Amino acid sequence: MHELSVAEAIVESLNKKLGERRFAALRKIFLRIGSLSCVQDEALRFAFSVLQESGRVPKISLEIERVEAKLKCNACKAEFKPEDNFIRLCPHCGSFDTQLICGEELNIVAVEVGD
Amino acid sequence: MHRERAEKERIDINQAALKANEEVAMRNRHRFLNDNVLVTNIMGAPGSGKTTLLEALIPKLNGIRIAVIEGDVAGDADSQRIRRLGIVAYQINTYGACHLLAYQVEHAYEHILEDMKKVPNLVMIENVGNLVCPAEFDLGEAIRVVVYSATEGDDKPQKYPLMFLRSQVVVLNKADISTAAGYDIESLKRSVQTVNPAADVFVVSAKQGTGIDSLAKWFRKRVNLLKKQSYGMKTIGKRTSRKNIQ
Repeated sequence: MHELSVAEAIVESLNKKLGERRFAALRKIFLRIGSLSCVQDEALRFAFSVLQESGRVPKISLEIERVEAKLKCNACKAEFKPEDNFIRLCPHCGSFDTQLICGEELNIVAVEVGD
Repeated sequence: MHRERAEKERIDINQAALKANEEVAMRNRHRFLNDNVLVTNIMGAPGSGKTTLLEALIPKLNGIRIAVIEGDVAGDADSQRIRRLGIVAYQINTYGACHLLAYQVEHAYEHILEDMKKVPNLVMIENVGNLVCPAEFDLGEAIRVVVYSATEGDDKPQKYPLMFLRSQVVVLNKADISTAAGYDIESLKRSVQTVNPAADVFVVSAKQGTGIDSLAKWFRKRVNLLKKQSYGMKTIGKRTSRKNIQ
């Protein structure tokens, strides 16, 4: 349950980036979260609701875009989505020599301010 | 102006959610590189044997100046155990947080320099016991180690992929009781390899002291490499290297 520290980190960096006045007008945060990151949507929404109750944070809605993990095989060059239990295994040629293309994201894409 | 503010406005941000922590981690990493100190982030579930591993490993690394940073939610039991080995240990209490943050390590490192009066060769950070959250938070370390005990079952790398993906070393601990727990070491190894085939896997029993020698050798080799680099630095210019340390 580190969603609360993730939420706090997001709030802190947006406060710094937007300035206090625009931060107070913050309405929506667009996030991109990879399937391999350990952040759960519901827990993150709950963490934001806790921060809102403290009064330090305006009422914000979260729009979360989930990114499925994708890998590239260095042996046969195929791109593939990992099977459940064998993340690194290329389903085409059986090689373990593969690299992640995406799936580890935990990014703030954009925000919406105003009413 | 007021009318403008009443309208919705989209502002592109495009940055990592944990950017603030990542910036401090990067600052730490630069500093550790300048100081030629090898910093290791040791992670694993509560009870996987992280502290016991340190107790077994540290005596095998004689001649290397070691310091330990202990991260726990509360208490200083672990740093006391390390101090009994005659090693400088600094305790961080997170008071509820389930992982360490880069700024806490920055602060702890200052204390270590003060206590040791010298730059250490190797700093071992024992993170808060947890397979989830610490994986997400960079501390500025050069090496990540997961302590994965045989009693946890052979599905942990699949259940906590980020932790295993981002670690260079996996220490399979409690090898002496794996059979009693119903898991054989080979299946645990295979399980690690399906997630991270590049990881160096060490099979040990920290309690019995088996398998520790090869892990100690692994660390000694890397510390020595850094030491060589630092001698190189000194022949280039003493003043520069001293300035960097301060």
